[in-house]
Amino acid sequence: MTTTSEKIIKTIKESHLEPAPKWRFLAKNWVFWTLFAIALVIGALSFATMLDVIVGHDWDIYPYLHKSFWTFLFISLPYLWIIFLSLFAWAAYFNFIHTKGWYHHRVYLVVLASAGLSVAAGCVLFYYGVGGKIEESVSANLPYLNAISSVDKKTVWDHPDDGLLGGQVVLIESSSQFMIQDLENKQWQVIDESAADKHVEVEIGEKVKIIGQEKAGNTFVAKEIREWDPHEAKRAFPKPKQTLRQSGSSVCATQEKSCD
Amino acid sequence: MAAAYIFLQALIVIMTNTFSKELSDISQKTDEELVALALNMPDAYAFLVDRYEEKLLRYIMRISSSSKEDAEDILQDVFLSAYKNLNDFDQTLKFSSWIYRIAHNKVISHFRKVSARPKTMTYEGDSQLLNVLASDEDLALAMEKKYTAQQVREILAEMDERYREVLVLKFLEEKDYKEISDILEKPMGTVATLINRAKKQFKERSNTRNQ
Repeated sequence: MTTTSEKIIKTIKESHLEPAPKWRFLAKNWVFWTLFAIALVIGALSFATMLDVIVGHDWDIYPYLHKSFWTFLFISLPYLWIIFLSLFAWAAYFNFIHTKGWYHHRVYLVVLASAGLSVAAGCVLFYYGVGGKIEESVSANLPYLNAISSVDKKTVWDHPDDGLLGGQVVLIESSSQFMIQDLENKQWQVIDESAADKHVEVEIGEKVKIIGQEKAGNTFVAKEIREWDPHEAKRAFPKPKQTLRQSGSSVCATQEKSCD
Repeated sequence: MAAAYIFLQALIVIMTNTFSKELSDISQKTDEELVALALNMPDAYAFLVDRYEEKLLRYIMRISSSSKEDAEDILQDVFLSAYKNLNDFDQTLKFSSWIYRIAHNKVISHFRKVSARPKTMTYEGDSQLLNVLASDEDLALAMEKKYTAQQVREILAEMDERYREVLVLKFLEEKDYKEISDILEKPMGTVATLINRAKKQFKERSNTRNQ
């Protein structure tokens, strides 16, 4: 024994040092792998939500808002989900490089595989509407995050003077005329002059987005009618303050006016 | 009485021989076998300490600016830390790689604590580094270059830490790529790139000195 080894053994014995149990190291490694997997799952959920926001966005309406495409893109990007995705991509990487023997793997392959897995899982989750549900839940429960989670459809489709009007169909008067209640609970007479390919069949209670022109007397001439997707509609419209009931061949709102 | 004394003497001789044989057996064990043994028998750990004491002290001094006393303190910390983490030793690695890794981490954390940048101390014979590095240059030119350990130390001290350490591991500690990868916990491709860049930087610095 040398002086150093004598000193080490003496310290070990005097301080009653013992090797830490193996399970502690195994658990530590598993914690990092589990956090890595959780980060991938949250990344996939963020990607699904981001996809929902991007796909559901009306990218062609920027001229009506008097903005350039790039300005519109800048204000439309779902920053919250981009931040989430980046954060959890970093978390996945951080946890991976703390697992045992991580450096035996090609890091760029692991990063690419993880990103690919998150994107693929995100696409599947988006397909099954999970992204929309998350966005809806965030809008409902964390309204202060709305501004960075997605573009506020309420403000975009509340510009009748610019030709953008959103609302809920409350009365169908004829095949080319119906009434909607907009996002500010104001009622509009809509004259449908949209071409067949730019038109959805409206039904009572349906939420629609209309591109057209405002006329006098709360009248709006529709050039194009789009359907809100159900998740978006839930986000944009508060719970209906009135119920609809059918009377003969027409349908009307019970609260606003009586049905003859 | 005399018979009892002779019996006692014989017993002592037998015990001493047995103990010496055991110690001799232990000293012939591989590092990995000693680790397994040390988990239940701290005394066996002394053999590992004896095997690595000098190598690690030299390595610590090569990659740090510590005085010998400081390096010895770091070394003691390395051995105690390694003992506490013996169960974390990965049998797929060489024990030497694992304990060098602990030493590398301890040097880094030591310098983080004292907020200083590690500098290089050299051992005698470190001038061989330049000869090895110059081996792929024109031989005649390389022969003209006569570097002292002091000059090597100065050049290494000027270099980036990450380059300096791979040079020390590759050319002074004579570790292969796999071992360096295990010590620094970097992929082998990264180690190869670091070594190439480190060699380039070393040559540039030494050429600058010659001009």
